[in-house]
Amino acid sequence: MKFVKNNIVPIAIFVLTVIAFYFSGMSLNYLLAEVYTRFIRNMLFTLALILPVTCGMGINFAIIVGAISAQMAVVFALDLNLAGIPVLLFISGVSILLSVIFGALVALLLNKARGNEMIVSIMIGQLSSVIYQFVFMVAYGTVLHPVNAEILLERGIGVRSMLDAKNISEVFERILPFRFEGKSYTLFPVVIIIVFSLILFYLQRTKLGVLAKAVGSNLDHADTLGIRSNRIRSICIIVSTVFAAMSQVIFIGDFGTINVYTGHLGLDTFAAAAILVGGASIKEAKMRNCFVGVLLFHALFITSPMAGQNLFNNPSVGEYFRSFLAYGVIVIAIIMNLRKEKMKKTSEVFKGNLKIDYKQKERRNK
Amino acid sequence: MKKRLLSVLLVAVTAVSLFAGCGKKEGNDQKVEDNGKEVSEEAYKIGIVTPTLTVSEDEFRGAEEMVQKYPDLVVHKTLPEDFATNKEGCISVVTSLADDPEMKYILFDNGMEGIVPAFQTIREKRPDIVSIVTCNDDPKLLNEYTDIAITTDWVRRGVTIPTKAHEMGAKTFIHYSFPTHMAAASKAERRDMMKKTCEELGMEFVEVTTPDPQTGNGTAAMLQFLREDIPRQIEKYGADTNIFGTNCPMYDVILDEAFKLKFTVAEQCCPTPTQAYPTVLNLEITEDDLGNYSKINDMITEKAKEAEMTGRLSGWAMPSSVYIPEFKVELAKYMHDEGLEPEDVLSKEFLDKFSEEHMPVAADFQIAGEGLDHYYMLILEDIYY
Repeated sequence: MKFVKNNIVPIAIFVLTVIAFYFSGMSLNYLLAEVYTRFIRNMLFTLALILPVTCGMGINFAIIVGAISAQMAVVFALDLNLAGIPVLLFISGVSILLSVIFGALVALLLNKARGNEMIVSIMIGQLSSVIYQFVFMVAYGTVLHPVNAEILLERGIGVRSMLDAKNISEVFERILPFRFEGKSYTLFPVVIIIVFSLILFYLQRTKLGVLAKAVGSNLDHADTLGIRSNRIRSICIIVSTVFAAMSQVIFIGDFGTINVYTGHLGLDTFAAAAILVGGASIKEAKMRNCFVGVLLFHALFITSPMAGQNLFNNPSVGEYFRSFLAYGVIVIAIIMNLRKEKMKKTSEVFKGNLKIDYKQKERRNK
Repeated sequence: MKKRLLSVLLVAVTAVSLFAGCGKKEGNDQKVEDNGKEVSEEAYKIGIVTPTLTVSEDEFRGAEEMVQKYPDLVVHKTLPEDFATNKEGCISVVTSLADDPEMKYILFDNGMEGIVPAFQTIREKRPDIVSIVTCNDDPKLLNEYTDIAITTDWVRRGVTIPTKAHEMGAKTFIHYSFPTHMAAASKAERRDMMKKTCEELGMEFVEVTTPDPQTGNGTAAMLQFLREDIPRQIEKYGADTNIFGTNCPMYDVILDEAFKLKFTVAEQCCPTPTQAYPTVLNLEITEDDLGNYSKINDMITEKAKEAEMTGRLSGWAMPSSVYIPEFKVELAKYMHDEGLEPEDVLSKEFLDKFSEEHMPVAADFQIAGEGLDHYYMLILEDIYY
């Protein structure tokens, strides 16, 4: 019963997904294949949210900046006509480099906006998105001259809105391929996800992870204790941005094409929704919340429109049914989590063991 | 306790709502089974994907009409409403059709970008499926990854629209657009053609940039801008001005202002009597009149006459966005019945003749360009209100 109580959000969504799957009429294999592609495309984005939540900054909507870094790296790679393993090394290297630089800038801004990080990160995401679009729409062809003129529009200014990223997807497909239902998939993204998950797992258990928790639980106390909280927060944001960049690299590698101007949009809200669905809150997030959340959120997203269409026998209802279910579920998740947190706090205060509990937690983390 | 109550309530509510739906579904299920039996003799299906009713009525209605005409044959699915940012959702909808082993034709109809990966997946998973696609993706990619691509000829309209505006008496041609649209090759090219045609005809070409609705902020800012900017422009250039906008939602404002300020609208970005006209003119279109374009055209002509706008508005007799989905369904059916491959139908002669024989309005096809063997573009007949 306690398990159910603690995991009410994921369980409710699991039940909904099963029901939606039943009514959707799709085959299990199709659902599995779709969930697999969604999983590899979105997993790292969701994992990228953990560290900022841990150090008390809420959900970092500025992970868009990471995605933009990767998009830039990919456009540069296509411009230089790279292929094979070099393209993989190039886009990983450049996107990580760019995301560290941009991540540091984002952190600088967020540290100035203590207490309002979430809303500021949304604004940073929007701003950087517009700057990025401007650079590729105008600077390319006027200030920057591409090697490969194919990527430009006919008029010679601005990159095409969609580019074929075959060079990159080919490399992905060659590493650890497997076939399922007549389509070839690759395990390579899973390897990347595992590596990055291990890195995150390790980071949470280092000094950085412990300090981040301390900063997250009480910023003022952390400051008086002599923790350089701004530095810790900056590192968390940079790591988060790098994760997002790698996620976008996987996304494009799996997608096979790149939407230069819109490919990075909307990913932040999906990641945020997934982590909340997984049972996390804006104050506490664990890796298992991410894995469970991504699987459940996307499974529901895939099955619910079909279920809606079949249930009401009307194609236009399907879409509203999906929106209603998806966003309704997110709102319920947030409310339930807030309640859970409130109850936890009050019960701890009543028991008089609030302080002891904190100490226990710290000991456990060491 | 409260929480437990809430969770129990939640589960109860979802269960009740879904099972209430379940009762409703059984009837449908029966129908599907009945259909299944009929279909099993022919054992093929045509799947069509369009936007939802609120995003673009035309494609949706075109597909719905085909569902009514061939209920056992055509399966209609709709895209997510936020298709500009939720590409993965769009792709899932398209690829889910290929999950049905009886599916032999997948038709796609939405002026969006970024749907090509869906057809890459389908080609790999189900090479037997023929895809007939209408979207705004890069022509080179469409040519490579889809079997047949058909769109309205946007670039050729770069010549026809200013020419028509000139004939209707316009001296200035205003082009409203925004950066992400101007980054799409076909729209940028059309703009250039319009500019060139205007110069040749001695009209002044004015380009105005509106707030961008595709970068996450929606259409509200753009519409507000148009509301404020159009009167300014008309004051500056006079009523003998033609206004063209590259984005469908713009026409709610453009046409409304046209009836107030009496400027000309030679053609909408997607010429159709059912877009913006019904809302702007408060046309009372009954359910029986849906799809009856000559009646709707008559209603607009009358309203234009009342407002002394006769000859200042024009468009196509039937929206190409209804025409194309219907055309594609008819084509797919014909291809199946006659055992034709995509290569057999991909020629101007065949497509022109097919449109004349099987459709209410004839179309004029043209190959999209050199090396684009799978990509044809069409233009429909004009109508003046």
